[in-house]
Amino acid sequence: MNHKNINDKLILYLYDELSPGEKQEIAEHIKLCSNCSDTLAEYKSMITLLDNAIDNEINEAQLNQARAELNSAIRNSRRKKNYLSEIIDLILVPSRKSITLAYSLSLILILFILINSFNKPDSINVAPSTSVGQSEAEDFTNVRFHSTDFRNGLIEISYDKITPVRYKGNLNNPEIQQLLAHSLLNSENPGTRLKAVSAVIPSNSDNIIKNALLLAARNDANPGVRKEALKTISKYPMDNDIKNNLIYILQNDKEPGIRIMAINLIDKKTDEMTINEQFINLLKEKMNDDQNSYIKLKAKSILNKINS
Amino acid sequence: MEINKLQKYTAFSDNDLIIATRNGDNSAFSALVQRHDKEVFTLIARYFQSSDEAKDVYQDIFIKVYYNLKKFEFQSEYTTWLYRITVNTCLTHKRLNKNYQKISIFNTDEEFDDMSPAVDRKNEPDNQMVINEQNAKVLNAVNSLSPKQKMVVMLKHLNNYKIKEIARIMNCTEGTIKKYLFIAVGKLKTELKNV
Repeated sequence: MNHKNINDKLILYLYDELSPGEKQEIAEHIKLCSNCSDTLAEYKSMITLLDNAIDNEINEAQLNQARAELNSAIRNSRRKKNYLSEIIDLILVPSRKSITLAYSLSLILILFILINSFNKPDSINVAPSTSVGQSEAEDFTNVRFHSTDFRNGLIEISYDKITPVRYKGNLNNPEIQQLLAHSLLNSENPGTRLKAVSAVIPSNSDNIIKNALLLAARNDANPGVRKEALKTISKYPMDNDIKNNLIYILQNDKEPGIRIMAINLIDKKTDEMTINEQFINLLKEKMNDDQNSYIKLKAKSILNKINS
Repeated sequence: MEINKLQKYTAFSDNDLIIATRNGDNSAFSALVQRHDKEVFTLIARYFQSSDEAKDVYQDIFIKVYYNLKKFEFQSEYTTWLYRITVNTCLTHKRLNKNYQKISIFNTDEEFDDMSPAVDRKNEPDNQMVINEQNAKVLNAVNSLSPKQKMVVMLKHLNNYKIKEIARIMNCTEGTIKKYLFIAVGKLKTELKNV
């Protein structure tokens, strides 16, 4: 017999897992081999210990308790399953109950749609235009009634008619430049005003744009817009309007940066300006009283330039 | 469950009880449970050596049986199917509770006295004490086996299942079961050398 696998065969022999032929073989071998016989005895002893330790006695009370808990658990899960099944059946399985429910829900939905369709708003909603340079629909806002007696079949109202337009084209388009000037002065959004002032192109032929820039440089609430307006104004040749506005800005703007821009522009275009006493007095005042030391020095420099 | 109620099912086979349960007869299910649950409870009680765990696992097993009876296809014995669920549940439970406390069933704490036959320890004869200590050592050695090795040893020694049957229950080959058995026996032989 091959001793290589004998160990495993001894175990199977003890557990009665061998065929009759194999059993016979082992039985004969252990008669002749003392080593295998000793090993078998060790295994047998160990198996006996296992049999004694792993007995099948249990506590009946424990078992009965487990049975009772099982019954309770199954009863509870059956109850839960029933509720869920009922709901699912109500939805999926056609029955009088589910059909009635479906009809009720449909009716509620129809009523909801009808009520909403009658409650239309007063204003006419206009879809925004998508084509370039053309309007497709108009919008009416700011409706005001000037008479409320309609018995004679007459009405007096005023309204704003707004035509939505989308433009994509040349920035030099005069209409667009005028539109930008209008936005610069009238838009409530400082971002829009800033973009408008950046897009405006200085034009000697168009006073509307120049005036809009001057007004923005003097009065815009946003310092960024005032600064950009001043920057654009610097591209114009000096004239009395621009000079007077620069003086105004130098005297009144609270932002030192913007006053500095104004005085720098004055310094740059002094030769183009008409110098009068009023202008000199302003420079003297700035030289002495301005809170910003740069402006003081600049005013002094300009005065020196004028006097020389 | 009243015994009177279940007596009428004594003549029913396992398959008859399964069919009756599927038809809504909950008493038939009770009878089916009680027919085999003692062996199942013994196995899991020995496997976990904890009464609380044994009750939890018992409930898991038979709830699975209850809800999966409709899937039983009568291609094997009901007991094979039941033990397959039992073994899988034990192994899963063991995996999830790796740190379960190993306490010998022969512990003197009250809780674990329930697991062993009632013994008057004060008047216990000396040889019985020796046997009890010996059994404790054996069970500790068994606890040191891997879950599957331990399950094979339990099924062999407690239920006297053949390797072929254990392979069917544990859903693996006979060769695998033999391997588990050889390794287990080898380890136990080493551990219990001086016992």
